[in-house]
Amino acid sequence: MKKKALLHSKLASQIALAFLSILLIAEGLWGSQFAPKNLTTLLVWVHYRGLLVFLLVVWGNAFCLGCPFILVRNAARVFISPKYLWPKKLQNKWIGIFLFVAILFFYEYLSLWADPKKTALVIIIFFLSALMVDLIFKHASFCKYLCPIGQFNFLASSVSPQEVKAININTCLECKTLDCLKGNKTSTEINKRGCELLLLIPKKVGNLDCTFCLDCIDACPHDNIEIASRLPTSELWEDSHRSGVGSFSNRFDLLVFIIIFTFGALLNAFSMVAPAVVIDQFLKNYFNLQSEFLLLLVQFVLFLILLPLIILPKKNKVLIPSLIPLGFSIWIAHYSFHLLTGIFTFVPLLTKMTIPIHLMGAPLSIVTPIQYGVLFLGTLLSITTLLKMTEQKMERIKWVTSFLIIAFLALWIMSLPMQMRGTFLG
Amino acid sequence: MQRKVLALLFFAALITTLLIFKKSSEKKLTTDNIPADSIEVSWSYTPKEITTQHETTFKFTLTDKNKNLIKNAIIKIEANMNHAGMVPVLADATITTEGLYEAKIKPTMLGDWILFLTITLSDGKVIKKEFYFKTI
Repeated sequence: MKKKALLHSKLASQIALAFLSILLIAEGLWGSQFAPKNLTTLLVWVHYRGLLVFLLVVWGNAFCLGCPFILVRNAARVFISPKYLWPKKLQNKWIGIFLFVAILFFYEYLSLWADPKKTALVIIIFFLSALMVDLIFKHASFCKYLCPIGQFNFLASSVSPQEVKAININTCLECKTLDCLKGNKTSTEINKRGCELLLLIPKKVGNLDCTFCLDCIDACPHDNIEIASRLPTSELWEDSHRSGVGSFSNRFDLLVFIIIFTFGALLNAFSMVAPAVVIDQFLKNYFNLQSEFLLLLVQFVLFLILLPLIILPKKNKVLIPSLIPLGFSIWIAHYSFHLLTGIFTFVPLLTKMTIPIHLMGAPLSIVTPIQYGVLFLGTLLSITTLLKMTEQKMERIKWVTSFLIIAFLALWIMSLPMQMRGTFLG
Repeated sequence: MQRKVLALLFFAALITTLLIFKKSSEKKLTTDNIPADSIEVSWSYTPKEITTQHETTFKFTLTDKNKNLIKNAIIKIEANMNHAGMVPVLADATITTEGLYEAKIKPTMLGDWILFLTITLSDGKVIKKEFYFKTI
């Protein structure tokens, strides 16, 4: 796609999503508080999540590219320029990991999928957080270190078939101005930002920390950067040093996040099926645990700490990134269930049209095989990635066994009927 | 200067849009034609355990303030769950005896269900009622 068309498409999608966010805030705060009849809960928890993973699989980090929070932040930065650099001690993913887990926790604890008002508040909090952080700190500190959606997208986009990269690496090697990183000023004195996530194109590897913001493409005076096709997961095969990120073996925070990303996918799906209720009942009866907060915390500790400790091999942590395709396939299987079974439920809300019930979404006879197929492909892709990462037979056996256990757990969860409890109105 | 003007216009557009959508969202909320408590609706169902494996027969009795049975009403039922993306189960109640209305519904999912009744009386007035049940 030509450079101007690409940049205009980016701006158009940011503007569209900004106004859509405003609609969802209004609808969530002042519309019907019954979740299936409210566009906010519907579009955020069903369509946005489903489209997010779909676009990550077929293209790349589309939602970071079109992020409305950043458009608002950019507009605010016209008036206020940030003065500070993000603190060096916090230049890691730990806060982002905490926020990601917090989103997963409060999604369950506050039943966000059933609460339009709270969903609208989540959108507002995202806007305010991005504004506050990026008006105080330079670059894209919110995106790189904090945004839970961004952290998810960064990992998931390692499976994407597209990547922002140099067209001709020799042109980059001869470049002395490093506009892709530092930005530049044109003759009319308009600043062109460089990469605010601190990724230098000739040394950038893969999609980690890349928001597809295209600032590098805009700034490059040689028109030497493009969104190019590549083999999905190829960026995981080697533990090379990545510009702005480092190498996986030196980033314990990233490795922990990959584990949370994978087992969080299992947990998020598990919370909606009967065994979750059984565990809660057991804890209530035998340990007299009555607090909903603590009951949920136990499930989080079980899935995010105990299960990984039990299932994953302890040695050679540099192989942990091979989990990403399988983890992402669990997210896809879960989100595509909700998207496909309720894909047209927004039509009566937007248009007042009545559509036949059986046309509102795909039947389980179609959706379930898709879920199983996605899980199978994710497992296969993780195995393939692992085989590229190591040639040691014992390591391969141990990790493939872990993949199969995780895949089996995911299959079991996806095969159980969904149930929604504790969601009566009021 | 131009960028500042554009940024200001953008923020103004966002705020204006918010106010327009606020009005639109509030307008969409419907109100009952008549107070819901002017009519009593009692209900029962068989079998006693509601599951996703079979139909449940719901029976509704409509009475006015003087305990007189209300006849010839039309009851449309929407069975739904309070989570986004849910496809409802729809049914129209049939009149079995004077003032008794019946509908068969098979819930499609485990969990907490809400029955939304839209009752249209013979004089055209509309009342809405809700009932709650759980599937096991």
